[in-house]
Amino acid sequence: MTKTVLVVDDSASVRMQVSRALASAGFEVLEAVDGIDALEKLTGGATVALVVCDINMPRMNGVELIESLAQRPAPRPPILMLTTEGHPALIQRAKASGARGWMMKPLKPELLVAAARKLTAA
Amino acid sequence: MSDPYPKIIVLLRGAAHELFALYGLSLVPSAACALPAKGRQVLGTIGFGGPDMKGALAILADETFWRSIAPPEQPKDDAILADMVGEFANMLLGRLRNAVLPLGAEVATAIPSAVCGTDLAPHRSSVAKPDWHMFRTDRGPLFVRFQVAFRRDFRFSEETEWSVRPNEADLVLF
Repeated sequence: MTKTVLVVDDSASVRMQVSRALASAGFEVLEAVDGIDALEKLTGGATVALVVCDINMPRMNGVELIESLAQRPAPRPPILMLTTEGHPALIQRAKASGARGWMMKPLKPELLVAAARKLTAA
Repeated sequence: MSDPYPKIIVLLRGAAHELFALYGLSLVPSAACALPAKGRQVLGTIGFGGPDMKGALAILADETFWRSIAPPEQPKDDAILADMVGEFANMLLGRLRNAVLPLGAEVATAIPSAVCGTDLAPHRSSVAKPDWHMFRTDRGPLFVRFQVAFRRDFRFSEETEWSVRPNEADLVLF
């Protein structure tokens, strides 16, 4: 069964690269332009196996998104952060709210696909 | 105690080298800096702020430079190219931010923006420190403008140890 990944980033070029890498590895991809858009898609009934999420976004940033998702009842999709941020306190805050991984930009497609496969494995 | 400006310029140059090396480019700093006066260019900018330092970073190069490092499947329209250059500004500043953090400076970054157009190089300031840096590459020159104001008496501290250094690991799974 095809697994769906929600890609959350305000950069269209990043969304395009991430989506292409995941789609070529057999994932179905949904896109959201910020945290609010992602929440609307998730509460609107989208079933996703993984969220790949930027931090620095307008309206609702990535950490606010995962903290909001942490309030929702289980099961919750694993979350992989893809960002330029590297502050240890931010990493710990994201981890405490359920983030399962942290990737530094620029995107390395093979690393992303490996992480996505690992985090969506049943 | 030393002026933090020369140190941050060294860090900026290192961050630029590291970032563009990931795209197959070798950046050679140039002492001279002749800003491009004519032609199609793309300019990306991003601001930053924090208790110790505030400022803005801009990157500028000819459109052909940016297209040469764009993913081949990327659409050719200006909006996507500008978005990509804004993301380069974000990634460059992000690397610099992560480099100054262990030295005691915390900064938050804004959302980047970018524009494609003709003759985009801003004028040099005639009074401030020279803030444009030129790098030669085999795809043409890259220009980085870094404007920074430090808190009075701010000095970088000795590097501290961090338990997680994602810049070095690229991917950390918890």
